[in-house]
Amino acid sequence: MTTTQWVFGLTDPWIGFWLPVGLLCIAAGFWLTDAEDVRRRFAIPLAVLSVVTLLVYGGSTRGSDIVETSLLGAALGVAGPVILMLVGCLVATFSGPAPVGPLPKGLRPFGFIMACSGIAWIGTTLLQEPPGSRANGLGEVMWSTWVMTFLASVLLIAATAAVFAFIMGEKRRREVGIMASLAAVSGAILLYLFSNGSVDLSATGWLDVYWQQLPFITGGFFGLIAGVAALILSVYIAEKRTPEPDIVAPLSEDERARITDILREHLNIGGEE
Amino acid sequence: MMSRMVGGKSSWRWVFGTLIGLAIAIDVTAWYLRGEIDPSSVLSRALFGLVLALGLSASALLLVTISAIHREMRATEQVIGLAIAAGLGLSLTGWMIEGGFATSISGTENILEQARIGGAMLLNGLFASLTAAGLVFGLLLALVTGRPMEKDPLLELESTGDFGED
Repeated sequence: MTTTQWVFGLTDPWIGFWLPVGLLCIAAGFWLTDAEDVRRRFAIPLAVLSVVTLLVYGGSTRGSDIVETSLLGAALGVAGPVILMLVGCLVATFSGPAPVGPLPKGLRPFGFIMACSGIAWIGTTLLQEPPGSRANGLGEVMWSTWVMTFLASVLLIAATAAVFAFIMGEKRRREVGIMASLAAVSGAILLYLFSNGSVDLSATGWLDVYWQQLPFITGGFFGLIAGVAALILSVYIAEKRTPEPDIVAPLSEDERARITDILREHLNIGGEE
Repeated sequence: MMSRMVGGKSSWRWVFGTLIGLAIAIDVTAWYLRGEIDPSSVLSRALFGLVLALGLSASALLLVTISAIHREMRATEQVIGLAIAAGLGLSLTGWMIEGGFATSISGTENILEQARIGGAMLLNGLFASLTAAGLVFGLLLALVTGRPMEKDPLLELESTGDFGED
């Protein structure tokens, strides 16, 4: 525990983790307000404050102490490959022949190499002794759940994208081939983990993680959809209940005359009087 | 044969069929390699994830809604609807933890602790899924936008300045 953490009460997960998560939601709400609304000015400072609080809270994590620091430990462990994949995809997209590409075209292969290196980096972490933050306890469960969810998601999404590109597009063999290869690599790593395990976790351990955590996360995915559906339904009900605007009475003769006068004055209709 | 399928209902059937078929194939492989599995335990874990995620996502959306309320907004229905969804999800979560469904320990005193563990695990899964989706769709976008396009012949035309005015 560092002095900064102790002074601000950041040793408590409710203050150090869940409060900043809630503040991020409030910052998102402030961001959605009108540009002239005073709350809009507080959106970015509040978001920055929340992220800094999370970083200070997770600063001294060893990953296996409590669940929130384990999560931050796992997130920190994959930050490098995730950033590499994200930057690689952006570089590959914006250095292509598309009219919005401001980057030199020679960078395009490096973008693909960076994106593929990210997934290879995650693969190599499974062949090495893990650091203390994910060697055992909750840190190990968090890390292995992240890897398992990531590989299963890549396999499912890439295979679906390959079928989509094959059926819906014209001359999409290269796209289909790359998507199918990505799915095959993820599937092969997944199968290897199920059969042989990794350096720090046996095959039984990976299968236990699969059967205990993946159903929970899959259920959570549908729960998230249900939460968003609740929002859509409530907005729909609000729109349905909105009263029809009142029927405005037709203009009276005096009003017509007044409007005609104004138009005549400003548009010079009918010549100078 | 494929050209007949483009854009039709059968195309989507293939896409969703692949998704569901692969998910089942992964499950069957893991089942075969693991040996004995308790389906009721798997189902109760999935249900626990569903109600907890419903409660947490509705609470997060409620916070966003409340902090974005302004005078012209019809927010009453939205706030009430999300509060009901959040309350339902969190109440069911508490009930499941108290009753010992899908959690290793039960009892009223453990509700917050188990909800914290579940919430962190859901955030972990969400992060992993979003990373996977970002990687796949990012690569697909880069590939599709990188295709050489033929120039639009209309852009080659030059104006004659004659707009048909007599």
